[in-house]
Amino acid sequence: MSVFVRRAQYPHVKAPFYPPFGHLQSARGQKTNTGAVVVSALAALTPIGNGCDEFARGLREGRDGVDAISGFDASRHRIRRAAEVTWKLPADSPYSRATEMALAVMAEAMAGARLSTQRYDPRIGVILASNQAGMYATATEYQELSHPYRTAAFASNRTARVLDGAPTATLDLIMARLGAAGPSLNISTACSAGLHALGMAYHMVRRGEVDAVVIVAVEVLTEAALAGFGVLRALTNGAGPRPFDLGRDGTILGEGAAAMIIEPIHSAWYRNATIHAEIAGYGSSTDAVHMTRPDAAGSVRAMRDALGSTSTDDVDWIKAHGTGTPANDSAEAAAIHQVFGERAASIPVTSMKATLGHSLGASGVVEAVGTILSMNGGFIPPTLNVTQVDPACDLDVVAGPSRSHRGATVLANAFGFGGNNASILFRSVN
Amino acid sequence: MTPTEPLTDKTRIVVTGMGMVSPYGCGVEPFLEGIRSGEGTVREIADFECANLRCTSGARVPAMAMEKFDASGTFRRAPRATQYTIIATNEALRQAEHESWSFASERIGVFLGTYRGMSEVSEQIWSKLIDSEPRFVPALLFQETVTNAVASAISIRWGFRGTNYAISSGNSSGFQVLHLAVEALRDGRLDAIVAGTFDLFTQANQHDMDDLGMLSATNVSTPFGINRDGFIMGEGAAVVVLETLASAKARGATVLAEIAGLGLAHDAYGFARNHPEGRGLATAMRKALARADVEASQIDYIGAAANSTVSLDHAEMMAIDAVFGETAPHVPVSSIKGLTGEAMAASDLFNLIACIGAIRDSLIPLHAGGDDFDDDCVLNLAGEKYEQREIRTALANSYSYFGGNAGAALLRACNN
Repeated sequence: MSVFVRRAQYPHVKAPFYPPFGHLQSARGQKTNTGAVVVSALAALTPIGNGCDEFARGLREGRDGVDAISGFDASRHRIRRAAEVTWKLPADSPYSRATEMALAVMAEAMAGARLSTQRYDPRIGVILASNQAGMYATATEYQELSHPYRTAAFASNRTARVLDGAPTATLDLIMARLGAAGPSLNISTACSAGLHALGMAYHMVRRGEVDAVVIVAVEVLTEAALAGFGVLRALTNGAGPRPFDLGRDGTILGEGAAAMIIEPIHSAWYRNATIHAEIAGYGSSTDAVHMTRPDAAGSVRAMRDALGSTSTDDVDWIKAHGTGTPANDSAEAAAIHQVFGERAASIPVTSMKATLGHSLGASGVVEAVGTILSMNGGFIPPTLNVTQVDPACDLDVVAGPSRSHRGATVLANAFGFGGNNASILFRSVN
Repeated sequence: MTPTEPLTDKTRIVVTGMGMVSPYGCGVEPFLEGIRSGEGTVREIADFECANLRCTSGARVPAMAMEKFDASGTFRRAPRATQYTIIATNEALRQAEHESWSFASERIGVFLGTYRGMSEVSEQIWSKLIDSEPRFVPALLFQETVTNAVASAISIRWGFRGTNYAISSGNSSGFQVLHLAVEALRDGRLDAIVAGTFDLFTQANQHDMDDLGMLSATNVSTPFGINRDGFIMGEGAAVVVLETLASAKARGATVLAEIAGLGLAHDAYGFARNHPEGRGLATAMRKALARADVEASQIDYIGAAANSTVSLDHAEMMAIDAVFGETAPHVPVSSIKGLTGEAMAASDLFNLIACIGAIRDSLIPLHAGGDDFDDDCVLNLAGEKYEQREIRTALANSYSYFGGNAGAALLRACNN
C-alpha cells in the first residue's frame, strides 16, 4: 500500500513529510530505495564539547570530561567527581535544566536535518531516553519543592518547575514545541534506554508507522544517583574510570544530551539531508539472573540479534558499554569473545565512559552520536586511563591516542541495571 | 509490514491472560464485579496524614497479607509496585496456562508502563540523603529506583529472557507498551509478552497534587459531571498476556479478546494542558479504528478516560463526538474512574480489562457519579438505567490529564 493511501486516513495533516509520488527520485539523482533506516541529523551536549563539531574534535583528541563536581555542593558525598556538561540553565527558564538541554538538542537536530514541522503532525514520533528527565536534581531543589520539606504552597513562578519534575513533562514539551503528534514514548530502562530508543525508532520507521522519529536523550547529574551509585560501590575512587584495565575499580557519573532524526533513506534523499549512518540492526535481551550483576549470555543474544545476517568479520570496531566496573567489563569481554570467536582478541574495542562519564539513560544515544561522528571522521576514539588491559578481558582496547580507522560498520552496546541489554549495528552509507 | 496489510492468524494479537491488583483488592473478578455493580472505592485516606488538604480522599489498594502470596524475604522486602505487579502477573500467567508453555525463554518479553515509576522508593532515597547522610542510602533500595526494576523482577522471577521495556510517558504508557508488544509479536520478534502497568501514590504525591489544584476539593470523582472539580487518585497494577492467534490456537488456549487496533498520538498543544477539542485522543481513536478496519458505528462500548478533570473530560467528549459523529449519542460510554479514581498508567489496563470483561460477559461498567452532565454533552453515558446488550467490539481510551499523551485500544470478541 502506498504512502499516499495511508496518509488519506489522516486528512487533517496538511502537507506530507515527503511527497507520495517520486520519492524514489532523490535530489541527487535516481537511486534505488533500499528500505534502509537512516540517521539524518545528530546533535549533542557533552562533557567534552557542546555541538557535534566540538564533540568530534574532543573524541579525536582524547579530551577528558571528568572533573570535580561544580554544579552543586558535593562535599557530603564520598565521590566528588563527575563528567558535567558546561551548558547552563538560562536564568529566566521556568523549566528544569534537563528539559532545557533536551529542547536545545532537539532544535539543533531539526535544523541539521533541514526539517521544520507543522502545527500538528501525527506522522512524526518522538522517543525520549531518560531515567530522571526533569526530576529534582539536588537536595536543595528537592527540599524547596517537595513534600514534606516544602514549607509553603508552590510559588506561582515555580509551578512549571514542579510540573516538569513529573516524569514525561520533558516529552510533552518536546511534542508541543515540535508539533509532533505521533507516538511519544519515554523509555526508561536504566543504562540501556538510549539504544532501545534507537531500536524502537528503527522498527517504527521500518514498518512505515511514522515518517520520522525524533530521538532525544538527556540525563543530568543528580544527588540521588551520586549517592546511590556511591553506596553500590560502583564509582571509581580514582581520577576517572579505567574501562577494561587491570586496575579498574568503578565507573563515574556523567551528564549528556543528544538528539537524532531517524527516517527512511528515501525521505532523507528527497530533502537532500545529510545521511550520517544507517541503522543496520537492533538486538535486545534480558539476563533474568540478577538485578545488578551482569550475565554474559544476555549480552551475547543482544549482540547476535543486532548483527543479524552481518558476519562478525565485517564489523570494524566495537563501541563497548565499558563502564569501568570490574563486573561489567568482565562480562562484556566474555560476551564479545563468545560472539566474535577468534576475532575477539584483534577487533578494536573502545569505551567512551572514561571520556564522558556514565550518563545512564542518555548514554546510549550520546555515545551513538559519538560513534557515528568517529566512524565518519575515520577514527576510533580512545579509551582513556588504560595503562594495562586486563589479560582476562583479552581485548584490543584502543588505549592511548585515537586510532585512525576507516570503519564502515560498528557495533554499539548498552547493558544496564536489571540485566537489560541492547545493541545496535551502525553502517556508513557513503 | 505496512499498517494496512490484511491480518492473518499470525499477525492477529490476542489476550490469553489477565490479572490485577486494584483498589478492589487482588484479582480481575472482584474488580469486574465492583465496576458493574457501581461499588466505589474512593475513601478518606487513613494510612497517611493529609487532614489539612482540600482533597483527603483516595482509592487505595487495601492492605494485604503479602506473606500469604510469597513468604520469601525478596518478595516481602520488595517495593509495593513490584509486589502488586508480580501478583497481577501471576494471575495472568495462570489464566494463560503458563505452566504448559513451550515458548523458549528468550522469546518471552516483559513490557511495563508507568507514570510515576518508582517514586515511592525515590522518596525514601531523598529523605535519607536530606535527613541523614548520602552514605546511609541503602544500596538495595537504590537499585529499585530505576523504572525498569519491576520489569526486571518479573524477568528474574519467571526466567523471561526476551526484550524487557519500561515506558514512562504519562497515563498513556499502558497503551504504548501494548502497541510495542503487539508490533513485536506481529514482527515475530517474540512469542509471548507480559504487558502491564503499575502506578501508586504516596503522601507526597497527594500533597503536591493537592497544592497544584488538580485534585477534587469536593472529594468526589464524577467523570463528565457538571460539577466536577478535579480527580481523585487511585492506584494498582494490571497485566495481560499477549500472543498471536495462531499461537493461542496451536496450544488450545482460551482467547479472552483480540487487540484489533491500537492508536497512539499526542495533543502537541502546550505545556500541562490538553487541546480543547482533544485532537490527540481523536487521532488515537481514528488510528485504532483504521488499524482494525472497523467503522465507528460498529463500536458497542467506549471505556472513556475521563477522570473528573474539567478540561480533560470536555476534550474527550469533543474527541468522541468528532470521531463518532452521528453515532456518538448512541454508543454507550462509561468511565470507571468515578469508582476507581485516576490510577494514572494503571488506569489504561484497568480500562482495557473492563472492556475485555464487557466483551466476555456482555456486561458494561456502570458510569457512576450522577446524571448531571455538561449542557453540550452528547454522550450516551451508561448509568443504572442503561439496558445491557451484546458487546462484540469495545474501544478503550487513554488520555494524560496534562501534556496530552493519548492512546486508544480497540478490542474485539474472538471465537476460536
